[in-house]
Amino acid sequence: MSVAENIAKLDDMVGPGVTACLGCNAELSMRMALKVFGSNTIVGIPPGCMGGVQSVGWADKTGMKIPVFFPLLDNTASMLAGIKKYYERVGRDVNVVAFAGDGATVDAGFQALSGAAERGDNIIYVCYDNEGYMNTGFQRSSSTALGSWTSTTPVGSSTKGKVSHKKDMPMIMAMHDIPYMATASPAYMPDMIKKLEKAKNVKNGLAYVHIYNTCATGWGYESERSIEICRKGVQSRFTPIYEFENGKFSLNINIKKPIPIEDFLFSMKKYKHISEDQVKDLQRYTDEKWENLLMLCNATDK
Amino acid sequence: MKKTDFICAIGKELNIINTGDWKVYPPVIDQEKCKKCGLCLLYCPTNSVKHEDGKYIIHLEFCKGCGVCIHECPANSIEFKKGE
Amino acid sequence: MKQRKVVDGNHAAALGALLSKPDVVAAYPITPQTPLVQHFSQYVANGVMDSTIVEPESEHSAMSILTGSSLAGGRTFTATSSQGLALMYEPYFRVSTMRLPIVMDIVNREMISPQSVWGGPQDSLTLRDAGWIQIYVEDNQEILDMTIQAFKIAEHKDVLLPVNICYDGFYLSHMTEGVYVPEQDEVTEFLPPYRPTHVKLDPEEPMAVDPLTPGNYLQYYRELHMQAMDEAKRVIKEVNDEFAKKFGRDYFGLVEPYRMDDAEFVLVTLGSLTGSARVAVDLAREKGVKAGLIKIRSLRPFPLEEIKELLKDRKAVGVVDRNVSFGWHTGIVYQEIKSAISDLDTVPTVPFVGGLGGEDLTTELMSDAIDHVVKAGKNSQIENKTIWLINDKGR
Repeated sequence: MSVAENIAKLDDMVGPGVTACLGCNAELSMRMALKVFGSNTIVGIPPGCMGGVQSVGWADKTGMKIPVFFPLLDNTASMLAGIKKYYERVGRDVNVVAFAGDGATVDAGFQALSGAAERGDNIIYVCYDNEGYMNTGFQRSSSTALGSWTSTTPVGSSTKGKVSHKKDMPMIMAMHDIPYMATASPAYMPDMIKKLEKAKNVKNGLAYVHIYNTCATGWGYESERSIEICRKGVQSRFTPIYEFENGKFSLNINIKKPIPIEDFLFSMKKYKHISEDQVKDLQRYTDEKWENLLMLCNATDK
Repeated sequence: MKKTDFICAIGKELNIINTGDWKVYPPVIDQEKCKKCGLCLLYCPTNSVKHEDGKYIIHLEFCKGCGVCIHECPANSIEFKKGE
Repeated sequence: MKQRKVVDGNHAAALGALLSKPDVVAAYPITPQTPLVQHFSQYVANGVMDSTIVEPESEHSAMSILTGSSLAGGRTFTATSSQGLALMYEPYFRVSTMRLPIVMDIVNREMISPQSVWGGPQDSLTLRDAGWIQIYVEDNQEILDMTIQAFKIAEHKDVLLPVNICYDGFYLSHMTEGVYVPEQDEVTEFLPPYRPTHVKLDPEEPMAVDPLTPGNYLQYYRELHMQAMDEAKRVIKEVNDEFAKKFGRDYFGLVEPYRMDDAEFVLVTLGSLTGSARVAVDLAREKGVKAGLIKIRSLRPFPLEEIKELLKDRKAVGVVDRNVSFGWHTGIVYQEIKSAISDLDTVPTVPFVGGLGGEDLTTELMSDAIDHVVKAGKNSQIENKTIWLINDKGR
């Protein structure tokens, strides 16, 4: 039976019709993740796109078929940890899940997440990384890549887009020595589903899945190209797909012949202004990260 | 003042938002051309593609008409149904 | 047999919480609350306590963890001070508006700047409008007893609000006194288990907690929250009476009057400074001055009716604040009292501020305060300028 046929049998835990933009692959990732986690799940969705699209609900109505709540931007992991601790205490095995954007993960929520990872709290933390605060009109986050236009790193005569590189959150989470960390892309859906299943089965600590999402509205491309842009991110090695499981790194999508980074960058508007130097810097960053990753895979392959 | 049965902000009944109204044209799968790979189901952000009686069918109630399924279909079997 | 122990305030708080059997405790250490956390950790290490302890990386996470555990259905406890409370402000406000009956002892400490670790309720008084019940206590026995009562008040079906038991850092937290420790059986009998139905996160009963909420609903929830505060006035008294009957210690509910029957000149206090004020009242009485004292116990809900009734027909009132309200040029409690008696006919009021940052509010200073109140009463003039109670001996 194909992956699609298996997925077709799973219940969608999200209410039909949330107000995400056309072609939103954060909505796709959220529906897919919660299908995999199933009905015995409590999910926290902090402020961000997926909270804003009424997946937590509106007024006295809920947006989900499972218990859902709106953590603060900066306490998703600790609030989840508290839920999990109580259920562990009363002997009930419940999946306690975060579905959080990069702002709530890489920026404001970082401390709480790092604390939960260090304590070994048994929660599943899924970050949908669309490289900025998209819900409020694309302000920069520390997950925004170098050179990207955002409404707070605009293009002017003095600076052109963001001046620093993206924070390498997946690697930072792996370095917490959590039992499971994976990156995933909606363009490689069977791989993503497998990783969500693995995360669900982790019982000895925190599982972290970093999904490289894109954003048609903020990044500036036509809605039907959402998966294409995700795929280009992977094929250029800019968003490497790998996992860290029980101390071992492994590359899951090996891109032997990467496309030039320009093919990824210039397929959308947010990079249309960038200079040759910025492209070179992004290519160097991408190559170095890839080399480091290969070294880690080799070094931990015992 | 709007009254509820609750003493703090909670929601119990499912919120239904009619996002099907958003689309300009409905996407339709040509079953003759469809190779049954299921990518449209895996990539649809709104969970609008169902697998029924061995076929992939797009349900239009909540489909926003983003066009991802059309763009990704390797068999070019999906098109916006224009006119009517 | 009642057990008597000599303990400091933090130890008394830890014993009160231990007897209340919380499911989850998460606390981040901060001076002067730190020994309380250490006591808890030791109880769990020794196996005398069955609670789940989580060691958070900040106060913000401490309150967040308890938010989660409370939403899952657990009884929860924490404690903090000053900067920790400030860091916690974001989840603090949310806990009350989500109607979660979390109990948190606040070991009152100055807010910086300047850098200071010493006692004073500036921290919690600044947050008096964040929707929590705030009860201020005077001694270690009251810390222990009220920490137990706090759970019963918070979890009452007509209240369902979080409760702070506030006690002064160092003055109480590090001062040892003899306290009676109730038997576990009796406390368990007094405090039934917490079974939430109004809000929870449970896959067996799915609901959304805190969906996006428009103003017309938000206003309704605010109205209910304010009504719950009104109900809490009754519940605090009921719980006080039930406790007094069972354990033999009566704290008189929302306020504790002292020698008020025929008092003409009244001091109003809050927290541990009440002790020296009591002595000053006794000394004044010996000199023939009809002095009296009101100790505010519950600042939120505010005991409006009690204060109006107690201050009716007095000659003058002084309020001693160990905190300030910037922009009013008085202390915070003074503002509260002034509002409460605004429709009483011209009772002269005198604002006092002193004892900040660990300074002593001595009996002599309290006697000075009474002298000022007497003077204001005789002149029938409303003093509106704050009088600083300054202990300059040896400084």
